[in-house]
Amino acid sequence: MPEDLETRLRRELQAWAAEAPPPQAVSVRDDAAAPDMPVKRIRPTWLLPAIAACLVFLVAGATVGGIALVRHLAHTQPTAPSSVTSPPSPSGPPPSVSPTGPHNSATTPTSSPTRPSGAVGPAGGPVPAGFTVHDLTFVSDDAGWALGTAPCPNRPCTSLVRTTDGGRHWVGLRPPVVGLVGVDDCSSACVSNVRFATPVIGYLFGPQVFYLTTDGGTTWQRQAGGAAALEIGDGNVLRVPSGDGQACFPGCPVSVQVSTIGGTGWRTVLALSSAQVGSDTGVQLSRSSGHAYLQVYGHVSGGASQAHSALYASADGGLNWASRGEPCPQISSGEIDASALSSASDQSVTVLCTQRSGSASFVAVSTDGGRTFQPGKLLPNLETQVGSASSSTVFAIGSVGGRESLVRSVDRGLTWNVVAQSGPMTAAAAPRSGFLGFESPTTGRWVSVSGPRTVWTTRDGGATWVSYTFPT
Amino acid sequence: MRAAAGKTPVAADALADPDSVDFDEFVRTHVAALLRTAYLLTGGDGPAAEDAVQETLTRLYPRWAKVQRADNPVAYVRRSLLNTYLNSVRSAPAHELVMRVVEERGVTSDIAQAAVDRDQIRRLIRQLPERQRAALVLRYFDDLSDREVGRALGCRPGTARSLISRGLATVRAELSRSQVGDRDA
Repeated sequence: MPEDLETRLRRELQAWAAEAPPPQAVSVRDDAAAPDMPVKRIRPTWLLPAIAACLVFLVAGATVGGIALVRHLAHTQPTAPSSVTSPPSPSGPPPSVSPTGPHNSATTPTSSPTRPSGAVGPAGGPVPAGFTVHDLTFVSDDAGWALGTAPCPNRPCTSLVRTTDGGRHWVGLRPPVVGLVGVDDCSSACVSNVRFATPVIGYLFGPQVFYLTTDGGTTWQRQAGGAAALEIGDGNVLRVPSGDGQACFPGCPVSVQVSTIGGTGWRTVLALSSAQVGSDTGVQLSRSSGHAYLQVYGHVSGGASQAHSALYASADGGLNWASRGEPCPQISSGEIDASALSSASDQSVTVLCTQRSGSASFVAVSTDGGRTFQPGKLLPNLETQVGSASSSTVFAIGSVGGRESLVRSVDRGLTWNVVAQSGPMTAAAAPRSGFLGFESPTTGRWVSVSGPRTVWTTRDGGATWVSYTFPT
Repeated sequence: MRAAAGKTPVAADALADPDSVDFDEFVRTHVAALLRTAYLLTGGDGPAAEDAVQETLTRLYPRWAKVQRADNPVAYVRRSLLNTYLNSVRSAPAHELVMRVVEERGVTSDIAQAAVDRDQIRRLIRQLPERQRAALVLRYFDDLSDREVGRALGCRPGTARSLISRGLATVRAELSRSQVGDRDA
């Protein structure tokens, strides 16, 4: 018997309301929940506009009065209007991106003008010309941030932009003055990723640095250490802290830490020794709907020894972990290793599996928390990106007709269709690896390696994609 | 919870002011529910919902004693929230043209289909006139009676009933049209 409309409305509204921003996002905030957060104070929304109006009135009055006074004093000598009525020097907000000048102390928060009322986050300025995307994060279908870079006279030129309408329009914000991995000389400090938990609480991090904002990116506070990965969900933040830069043999230990959203205290929930990790070449975190996954990748160019990756899974939001070993089914002769990971909101997890000797790859999907993986069809030219909207709808990046292509499968990787194409596939595009991610079963984003100024968005589970290209 | 500051008539000993304490308790207890209602009123716009709730609380803080004397302070604040939202909609310039979105047709998984269904009804709710959407949210999310919906919207119960009825009829008609389209495809 079909559900009546009123019952359906009740159910849909309840589910929709559950996606509302957390109360912490409102300025009236519980100090006990986040003792380190600066508390924004409630201010009547008309107060600053009223002050601004008064100032304009006073300036205008003074100007008119000044003209009258000058004319009165000059009598027969006309006064050059420009000397009296020329507008004051521009006092609008400075460019919010394209940092210039010396790198100030990393512990000194950078700041930019804020909106007058209790709005969430800074108003933002123009997007710097030539902006290219290196990482994306969205807290809803509409609210997202992109970390990237743009040409500027003095490096670093790391830039941060924000959208509040799902990527149709963007404004520039001012990130800390710090380099960008893959772009700048990172001997001192560079960021590589951005993640936001709410419209106001976000993280910028890289191998040696870790920044936290609690005001939507107006100010950034540098925290200790750095992070190789960080993901938010289930009311907490998980991160993989980076090492201290010292060489480790056979590999550096890997750990996972947990913190409250916006908190500055971290607790280790998974610790892997050097012996457990081996000569790893990187880690990846992925999480959704209570499940969290950590993949430690092996060193596939590291000699004769096997280079299997290791998957660790948590079913309680990252508090407890279990080892799952190499997730890729060894379906053909020769070693097969995982090279990318993605989890979906239906708790499925998808890995991209690649033959160590050869160029063929396939995706494998697990619907039992990473215990078993069902392999798809072995295909050439799949690259090191995988995404998943659900257990059946998975995505990969591949070369089709020489062009970098986003391919989609609705049968767990058995058959594939091209759903979007970018530029020519060239090795020169490295070291960027692009971005592919889904916020929900329907909404996802792709930034290709060959077209880093374009953000592709789908709102129908990946069947169709629309693009937004940042201006040159 | 830190007391709100800014231009308020609260004396220097504000922290000892019983009204201030009750305001804090009210916010702590009800801000999440108010945010959820605001989130639905704004059609799922999180930042706009936060702005509406914050502006509402900001406006009410200086006359919190009056709110406390109301028969139902929650209803009082909710009504103020509705006024704030409806006023903001009236004063906001139209800057986005809502286009009809053509649904993808084809084989989809149950999860994907459920998501498409969910998005469809959300889109229909977003496209309703503000007062009809507010009436549906108050009735089917906040579970208010016609009389309470009317009070919140500043109209008679009959008018509230009419708003709900018209909103439901619009959603039902669009859903039926969509299903007919699916069958014809």
